[in-house]
Amino acid sequence: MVTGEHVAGSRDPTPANDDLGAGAGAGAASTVDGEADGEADPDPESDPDPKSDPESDPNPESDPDPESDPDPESDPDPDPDPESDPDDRCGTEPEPENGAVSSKKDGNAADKLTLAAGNGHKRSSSGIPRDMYGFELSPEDAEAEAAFYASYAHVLQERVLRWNAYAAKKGKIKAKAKPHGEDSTAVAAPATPTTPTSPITPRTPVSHKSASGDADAYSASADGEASCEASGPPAKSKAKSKSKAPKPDKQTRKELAKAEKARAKAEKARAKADKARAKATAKARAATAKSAIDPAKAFAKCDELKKMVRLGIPQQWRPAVWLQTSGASKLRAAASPDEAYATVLAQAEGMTSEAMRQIDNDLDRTFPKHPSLDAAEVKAKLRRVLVAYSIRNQAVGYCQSMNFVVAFMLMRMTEDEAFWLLAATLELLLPAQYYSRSMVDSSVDQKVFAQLVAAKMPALPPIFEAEGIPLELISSQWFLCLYVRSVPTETTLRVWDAFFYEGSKILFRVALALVRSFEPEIMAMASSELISGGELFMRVKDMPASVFDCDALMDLAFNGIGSLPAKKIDKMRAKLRPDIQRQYEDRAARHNTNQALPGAPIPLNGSSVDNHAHDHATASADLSDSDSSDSSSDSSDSSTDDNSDSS
Amino acid sequence: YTVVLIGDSAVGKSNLLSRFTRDEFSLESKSTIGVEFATRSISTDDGKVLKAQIWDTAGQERYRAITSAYYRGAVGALLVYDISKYETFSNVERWLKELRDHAENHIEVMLVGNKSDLRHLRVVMTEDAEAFAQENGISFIETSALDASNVEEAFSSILTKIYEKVSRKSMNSDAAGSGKTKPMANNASKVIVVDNENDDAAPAKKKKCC
Repeated sequence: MVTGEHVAGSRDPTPANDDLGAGAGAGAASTVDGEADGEADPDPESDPDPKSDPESDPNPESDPDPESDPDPESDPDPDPDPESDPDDRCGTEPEPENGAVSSKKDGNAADKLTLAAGNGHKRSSSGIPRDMYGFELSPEDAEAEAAFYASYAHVLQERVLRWNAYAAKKGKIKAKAKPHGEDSTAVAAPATPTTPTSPITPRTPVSHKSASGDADAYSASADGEASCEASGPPAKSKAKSKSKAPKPDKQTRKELAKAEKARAKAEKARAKADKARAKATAKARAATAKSAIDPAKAFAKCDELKKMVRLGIPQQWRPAVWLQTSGASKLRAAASPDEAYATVLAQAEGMTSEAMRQIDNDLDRTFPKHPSLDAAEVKAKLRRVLVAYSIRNQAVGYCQSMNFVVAFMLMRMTEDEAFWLLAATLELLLPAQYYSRSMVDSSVDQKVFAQLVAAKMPALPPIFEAEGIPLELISSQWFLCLYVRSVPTETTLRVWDAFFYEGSKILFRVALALVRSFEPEIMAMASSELISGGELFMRVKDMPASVFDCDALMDLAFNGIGSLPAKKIDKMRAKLRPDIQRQYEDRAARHNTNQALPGAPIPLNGSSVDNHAHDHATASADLSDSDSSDSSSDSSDSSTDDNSDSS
Repeated sequence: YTVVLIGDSAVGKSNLLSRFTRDEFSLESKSTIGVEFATRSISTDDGKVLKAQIWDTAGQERYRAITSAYYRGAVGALLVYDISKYETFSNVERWLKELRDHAENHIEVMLVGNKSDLRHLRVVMTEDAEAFAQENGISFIETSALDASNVEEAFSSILTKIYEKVSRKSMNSDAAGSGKTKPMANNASKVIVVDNENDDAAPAKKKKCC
């Protein structure tokens, strides 16, 4: 991790930062040989003044320091179920033993490492703080993030070990046995559809480098991560912090120094964790090269897997697990040759469509400035997947927000995989009209959500109603983007882990958890009277962006909001849907009738007609696909559905 | 006052808003999903402070079903198109209809031709847009969120109009004892045309309507 320039580049440097920036830099620099001497703790020499900094325990694991987590939302619901997540952010997760980390440096928390290395240069060159996945952060959030991971790294490490063991146990392919027929073939197939079957190995975040030969920052960094981390950035950070150091007065200097120390501590812990991750990834690769895993077997749904998924999937297993649990690999295996990604994509040749126009509009507006989407080649990939899907699913075509979802997928999987994962999301996990032209099911879900909030947190809706801001206005973005960019990246990924396994009820659980965790703040804001409806809206909308403590959020989602079986959601959907469908049809019909009289001007206040030639096609298309809805979308196994609710 | 920004996708609604409220512009902005909000206060010629609450909406057609709820309560709308994309201008009629169907009857509407800095790519003639605006009894202005020309003017003009309308309305209702009067109906003379090449002309355009 490029923690050194993270400090320097992202915050106000202070005199104290001179030392600490250099210290963090040294910490990071030691990762050069850190691979080799992982056991040697580089931290002592990186902290120039250990005695003045009682907080600066270099061992994150021996210093859980819950105070260092700035996340305002601490879990109000103590978790009675030890299996389903710690209510302590630094992990009461079955953790081998305290202080054991030095002996398990190889615990591969491989999450993030390649990304970090890849965009470390970006970060230092632009000075914009980014999270470990390359997304921009505000300076405050960058700090919050660093603080969180300082105490979270060892949880990630432990998780990787557990998953590796699980995958090896369940998915081991016996010598000579064919790799589990078609199914695993499908899973393993990289972007080039012609590639023969091969079992999978765990992957670093973006593993499609070889498949498409792209030069994307992430994949390119996969192998050179240690040196990337170590060589360039630290020196830079040093220089930067020195040159920029202002001269604050004594008091603020003291405060700043203190803050800097806390930060540096977090950075150090992060550097250390990253180093461990790098090592573990290499190890995992080596291990899996020897004993390949059959993903269909390894990640077949079962209670044990579900519990593990709820606790989070390690980054390198995510693509494989998502493809299995979402049903994407089954969709792909069952597809006829005509439905194959490459075949569908070939149909797009020379074609133009409304969907394509809109997709082209959005390519540059999907995570602008994100290092992995800078390259034209990566944008081309995003375009291909979206275009191919618009051909596969013509009732949907393309809906804004799918661009964000697919880009997010492509950061960690091949085009082919993203295509099928998108298909599974829209066709198996969500109701059919979520992204369709009518978006009826999306509206329905917002109403369902509003009703759930009213039932579970009755004090809230009146606040929003009084301000004329329906809460759905805020939450529709959460749902439509599947929490991409609404919450921090790792938190989104945790939502996805559970969503692909358990289906759309997870979106509700997370939304309810978010609202519940902000309830006190919202109540306080409302009583302050100083705030307008719009400001309330924006404040609430921005709150989730700093929910770095994904464990606490997911724990709250599973255990803190009461019972919410998929069946209940389906019932509510079924009840609300007819009205919303009717409203939509009325609307569409009105446009169609008006369309009959072209050319007339539109007096705003009058009752005259207008010209709506363009609406015609859209409206009728909508009506024609509107009756094919599917309200039984939760694919989760309903028997174990809400096991945590009752506990 | 609540004002909404509407218009096709990628015409520059979000950048108009950020230019007006934060004096920021980005060539690399994200697609708006759902709704965004920002606020700013301006003062009128007679010293009143007008607080504008501005909602920015997703442009893709299918989002209208979701966003139309936000038209309610809006007293003004900036209907934005891109002078370098004809389609965004031809869709203006549909947006007007949308407003007629879902917004308040007396909503003040201003047609905004954005991206006026793209002179060499212009495909929508100022006269055409002007004529359209006149026909439909709405005001018109060309802006550039990129070089900031007329952005301030567009917002302050619509806010001033709303302010005037509201004060007149309350006067009318005081006099006639009815709030039902429609002072704005069919007044084509209130069209504002601002040459995008001449930013300085803007203040002169704050003429009274009706």
